[in-house]
Amino acid sequence: MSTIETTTEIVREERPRTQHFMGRLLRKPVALVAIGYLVLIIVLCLGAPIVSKYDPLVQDLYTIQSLPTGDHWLGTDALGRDVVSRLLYGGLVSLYGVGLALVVFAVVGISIGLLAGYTGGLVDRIISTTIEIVLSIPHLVIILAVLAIFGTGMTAPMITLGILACGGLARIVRANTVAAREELYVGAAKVSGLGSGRIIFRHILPNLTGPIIVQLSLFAGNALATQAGLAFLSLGVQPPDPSWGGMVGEASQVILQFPWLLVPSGGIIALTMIAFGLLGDAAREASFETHQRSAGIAVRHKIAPAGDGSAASSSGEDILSVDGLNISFQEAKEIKEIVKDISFAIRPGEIVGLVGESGSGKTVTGLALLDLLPANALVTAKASWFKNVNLQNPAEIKKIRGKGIAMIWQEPMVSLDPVFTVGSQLGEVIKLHNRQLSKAQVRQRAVELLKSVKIKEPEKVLKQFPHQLSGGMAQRVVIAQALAGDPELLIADEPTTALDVTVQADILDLLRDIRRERNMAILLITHDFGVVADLCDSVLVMRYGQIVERGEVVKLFTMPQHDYTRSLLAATPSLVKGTL
Amino acid sequence: MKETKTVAPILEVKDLIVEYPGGFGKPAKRVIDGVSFNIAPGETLALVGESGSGKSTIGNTILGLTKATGGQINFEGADITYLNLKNRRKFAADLQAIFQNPYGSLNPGLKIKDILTEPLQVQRKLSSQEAGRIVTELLQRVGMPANSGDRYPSHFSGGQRQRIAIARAVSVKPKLIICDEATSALDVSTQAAVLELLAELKRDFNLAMLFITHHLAIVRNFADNVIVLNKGQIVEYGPAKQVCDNPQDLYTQLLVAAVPVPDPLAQAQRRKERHEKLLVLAKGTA
Repeated sequence: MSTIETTTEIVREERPRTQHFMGRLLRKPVALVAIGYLVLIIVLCLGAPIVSKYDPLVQDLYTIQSLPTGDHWLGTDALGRDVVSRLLYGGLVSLYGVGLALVVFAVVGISIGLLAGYTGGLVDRIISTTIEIVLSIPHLVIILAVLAIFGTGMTAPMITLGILACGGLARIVRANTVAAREELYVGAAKVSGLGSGRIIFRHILPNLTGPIIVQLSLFAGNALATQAGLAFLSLGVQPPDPSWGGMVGEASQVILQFPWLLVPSGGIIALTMIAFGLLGDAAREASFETHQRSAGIAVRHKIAPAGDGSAASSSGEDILSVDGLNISFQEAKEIKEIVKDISFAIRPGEIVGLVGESGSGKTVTGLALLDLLPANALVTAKASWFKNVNLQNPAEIKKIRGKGIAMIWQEPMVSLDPVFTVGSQLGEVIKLHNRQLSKAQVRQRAVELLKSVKIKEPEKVLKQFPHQLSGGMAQRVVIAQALAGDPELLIADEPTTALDVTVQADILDLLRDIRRERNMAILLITHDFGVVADLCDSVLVMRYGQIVERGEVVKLFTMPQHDYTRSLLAATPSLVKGTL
Repeated sequence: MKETKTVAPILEVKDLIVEYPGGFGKPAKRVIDGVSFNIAPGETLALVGESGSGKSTIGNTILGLTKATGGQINFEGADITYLNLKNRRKFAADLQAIFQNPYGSLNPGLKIKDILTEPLQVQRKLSSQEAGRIVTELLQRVGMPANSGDRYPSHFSGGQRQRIAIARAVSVKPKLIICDEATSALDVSTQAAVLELLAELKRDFNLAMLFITHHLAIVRNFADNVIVLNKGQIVEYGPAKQVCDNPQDLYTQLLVAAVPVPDPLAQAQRRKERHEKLLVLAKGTA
């Protein structure tokens, strides 16, 4: 390894993908409004004696059932008590109940979730079963029983509610912990010799913040509803003590004479529940974004040729000719140029290697030929022809996709649908290309195709599901699928990268045979110079979206002209002595 | 089989057996079947095999991430085979690991400096000031910009992340590092740079290394000795150059023959030889 003089490393400046969850949450207007509202309510309730000059229990029988006035901002109730004052003092009781339930819910739920998820095994099974049993019991029945035993007061029923409901949170924490436990960084932490406590609190729990906050806000809404419901039934909080639910109850008794009274109490319960719900919603979105990069802004493809477009078809013998291809992506604010003004051509039956490291634009180039790029991609070219088909016209591309040009990818399993047999998937593609075929003919054609990719027992493989195939076998099936439309050009994007080396050699042999039998051209996209040396006739070397060197394969390997090609070749390890 | 010299091996693996439970009524699946090898201080031993050969399982069993069913693993003479995580902790500083996926092995929620100081504070009981100084040194040593410490893993490319993972592994001055496909997810030039870094660190710290890979071509130049693994068993064990240039076992021969070399003319010749070998084999079995 000591002979490498120049080693280039591509430095990607990505936008930070995993910005902190809280930071993301607080940048959402909806979350800010919800949090603002909740904080305001809490502050007002805590400051009730200062905010309101009325005692919530003092009756003023001269001003009963008053609508809002300068003295009584939200009016008075049937006994002349100030509604604002009762709302604020009552809020204290309601929020205390919600807070208590929330604390119990969080502490118990997170602890047993972590315990079950991190320990696993028998402990996990016992906890999970218990949670399922507890969750299947109707909460209200238990809470009523608790009230019957402990009498009045919100403490006992709200603690009970927290315990009964925490199973839901525990299950989510458990599932996330199980997933996090499998993460490499947790494995790395274990190898570093960190204790379990440290691993849980530093490496697992912080990454669960999102899902936990979602559950907490949803449960807070539920707890408020339960608390209000109990108070409405005059359970828990006893009149004349104010509480939001109790106030709804009082308003319901005079609903015909004085409907207004329902508005402040009902309204504040509704608003608070909506705030909890919106907060939960925003938290869910934020935690989703934390794990997923935001997509770029969609723009429609610009197909308009940048040049004069005078050439009417690919010139001469070339089956594919691309001139001045540019590809850029519209991201949040800027336009990122990925491929810059590349031109190349492929002759019938030629195998062309498109080589480059990650970020060089080689995969994007292949996708652009078949119009398979996402909507935020911007593709322009001076000219781009497949025989006499203009590749700058999406409608034309549709006609040759699969028939003129086929494509296979790195991961064969991803290209196959796990729920259908090989036969049904292959048959579907065959029928797509030739609708007149009868069932028997389709089957016969499928067998032929599997034979052409050197599958020994085609009849048996047709009945199999993708998961029953080995990686090499799956890639053969995918190639058979690509051959179904008798393409003249196959774009193969890292077709052997995911395979074992012996299987890779077999697949490369297969591609070579197919080319010989069908005179099919192949655009082989790869990062592996060994694969290029084995299969390709000519090579295009890409770097940062440009073709830096091109040429016939032996010449390129023996006399590389560009420094980058030389450094890549030098960096490629070789099994043969003397090369490195 | 190659015996290490008079120096006491840093790691001894004797008749290691690992089985995965087979589920209801099914027999347990034996993934490692009687594997034995030694690693001397400063030695790089490569563990090569195709998918399903059990090469990563061996690494994980040594690290205690997978339970052994039978056999013995000695680290510096002490039996660590069946230690639980807690008792294993005292070996953690001497036995480190670098994993394949540089995107998964760094906690995305922690800054680089926190990722790096953590093992220092836990293992070497350093003050945060001292740890901070060492982290700066380490980052420089693995060729990372000085201001990297205050950034999150998502700011860095795969190669850079692997450098950070390497910095974390060497920070506690280990005697043995287990590299599980440490360069497989990287571009060739990045891979070359990372291998070069590992080779330098190996020299500087007299590190022993168990280098697990599917990539035979790297092994020839990077490792001292190599074990070729097939279905949980050792099929060939010897000096890396000798095994790559002149493989004895049939499985190794086919494996070596399948590796494409970056030279079209040489590769055409190798391909022909491989086809001939396969043809002979097919006739033999027919």
